[in-house]
Amino acid sequence: MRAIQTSSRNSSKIIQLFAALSVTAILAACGAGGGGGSSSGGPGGGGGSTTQLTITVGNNWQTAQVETGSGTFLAKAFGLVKDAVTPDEAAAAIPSNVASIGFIITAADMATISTNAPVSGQTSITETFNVPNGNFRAVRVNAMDGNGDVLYTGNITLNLNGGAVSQDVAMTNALCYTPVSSNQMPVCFVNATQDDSLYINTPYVTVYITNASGVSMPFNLLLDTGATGVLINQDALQAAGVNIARNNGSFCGQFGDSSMFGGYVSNATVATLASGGLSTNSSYPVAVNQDTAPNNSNYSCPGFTPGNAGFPSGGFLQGDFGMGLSPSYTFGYPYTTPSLPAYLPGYTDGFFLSFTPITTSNGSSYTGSGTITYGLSGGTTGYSFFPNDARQSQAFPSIDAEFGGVINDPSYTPTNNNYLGQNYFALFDTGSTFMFMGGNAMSNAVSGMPTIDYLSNYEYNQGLFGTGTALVNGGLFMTMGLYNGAAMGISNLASYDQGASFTTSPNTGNYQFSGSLFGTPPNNGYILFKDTILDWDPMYGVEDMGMSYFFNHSMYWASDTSANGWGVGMQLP
Amino acid sequence: MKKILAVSIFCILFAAQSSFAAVGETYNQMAQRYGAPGQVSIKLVAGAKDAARYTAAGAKGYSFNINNLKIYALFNASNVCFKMLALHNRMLPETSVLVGPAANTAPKVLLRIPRRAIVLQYGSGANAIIYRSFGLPGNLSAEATNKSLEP
Repeated sequence: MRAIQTSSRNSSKIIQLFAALSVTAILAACGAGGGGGSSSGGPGGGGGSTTQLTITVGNNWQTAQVETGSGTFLAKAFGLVKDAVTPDEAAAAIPSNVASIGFIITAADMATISTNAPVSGQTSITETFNVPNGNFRAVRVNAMDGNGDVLYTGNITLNLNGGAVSQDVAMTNALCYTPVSSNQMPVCFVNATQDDSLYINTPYVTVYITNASGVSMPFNLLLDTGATGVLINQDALQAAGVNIARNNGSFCGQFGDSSMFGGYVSNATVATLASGGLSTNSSYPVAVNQDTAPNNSNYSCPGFTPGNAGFPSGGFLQGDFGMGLSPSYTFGYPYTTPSLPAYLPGYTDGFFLSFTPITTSNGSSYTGSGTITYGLSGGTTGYSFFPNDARQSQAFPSIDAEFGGVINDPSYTPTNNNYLGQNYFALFDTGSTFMFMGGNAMSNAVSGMPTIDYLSNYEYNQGLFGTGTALVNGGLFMTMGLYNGAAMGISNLASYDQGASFTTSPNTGNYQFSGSLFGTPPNNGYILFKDTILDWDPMYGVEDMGMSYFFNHSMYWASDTSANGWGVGMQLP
Repeated sequence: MKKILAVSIFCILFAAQSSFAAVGETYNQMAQRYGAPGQVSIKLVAGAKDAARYTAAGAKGYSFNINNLKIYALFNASNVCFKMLALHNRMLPETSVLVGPAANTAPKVLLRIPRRAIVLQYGSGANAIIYRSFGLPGNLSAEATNKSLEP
């Protein structure tokens, strides 16, 4: 019960932080060289005339949201915020953990303008810049903590001609991993609402596609280990001035929630992921998603229902950066076209996901361990994606799912561990904010774990998903405890088992608990993750491990063939 | 004239009924429409825990080929279908295949996890059918269950 209550509070806090910061960019008519302010950098090309651009962070965010109008991304969030926070809480314009605000204005035909402004207790920050006139001025505002990590971010693209414009920039809760070497890719994480759904710590990447004017335009794509191929909404491409001609056949597909995507394939000039500069532009296939908007008349897929798009028009996420490699799961083009490594020249380490077996130095029976790491330099031989004991034929980062020494079903033997002809496996899914674990798996894996019946009853009593529906055998906000590494007999796991000092980014501390739904684990409880777990395993034979809570951490997976326990641990990078 | 009208109504009703193979139908109805099914292990499609309960209650599992998809149907001891599943397909089946005429009504969205899963409720009370789908692009599964018919 305690875990559930805490979870609810945390969710509210996430929403509050997301929307408590908004930015108003006011463009005032201005001649060449006008205005002052604290900008650094200066006008480059652009014809010599400038527009004075004033950006304010920390104004009354409620007023700003009203100005955005209905149906916008921020307006949708506001509906949640009204219920989630009190007026007093909402009045806090700049969260206390924001130490500085960074402003970055870029375009292909001008020098980059940037500055960092310390907050120093101020309730709002205003900066003024003289920006060369021209199209496709990308304005990004980052709210950073004392370590320089981006906690909130927002961006907008403007066409400047000296005229006055007023724009709101939605600030979303984000954390961007700062690469530690030049061949690592920056990965950001966003907390946001979109399409009436809450995205918690959802990883995304930004790719740049050259438009008709030769300008590289950014697109925020879900970093998705549960998909393959690069899918971008057509309307987002069009809004950015990207002309993409159809050069390949059409495609149709569905996501697990029955939402759809479909369109055609085109080659686009793509540069991957800027971190101090774009990679070399190359022509890559992009699946152009036409099924995006409720009123989209171009949808191509039979059965597509307006409003049932996998990536709705206007959302923060404009598509999917699938990291899978299997030809069976591409978004639309055959696997013989360049796969992900080709998209990521020079950034292979940034996407390295490694699964390294934990040493069982003391002869324990623990096997099947692994780690998953975002944005860390772990690759030494180019692109590497699968665990050492990987199911190499699988498209996605996955391992055989062993829980408590069994393959989910206690009656199955290692030689009979199939599920409709395929093995059980655990997928490490960056595209899911939830974990789908089987009741069998849980009850087998964790000593003292309530049985699935208990979960169902508990859910029923709590009415978590509607009164008396009991529609999901699970669906319980819960906290799971990890047995102490040393107690588990995993010597090197113990060094990571820092339950008492464990924190998660972005600095919310939301996922740190001192207790457990199942009592206090050994050694005062090493509570290493909390998540929403849905028991759909009997139906699908897949443990889909939503990775939202694991971003920017190493994840260690251990199973116990003696059925005494299991564990998932995390380590800050 | 009456005869023609009666035949027409019969044909319309039959055609409408033939559009679905769904939870709530009997084994005979499905077998008549889709041919003799193959029997399947309940355990393989329903999971060990539920399968034990189903089997103990005399349930049986069959697979039908419907619209080029293998659809699993579980029947209770009264030979009434209480659960249908389509597992590991590239596309989900039409909802009506699993929930029948209820697909023409607006469902209640009970849970949605963006791009991964959804849970819908069609109808209410004893006729309520819980539909849920889950999966990744290219590997999708769906299930419909009438709890009141479930063993």
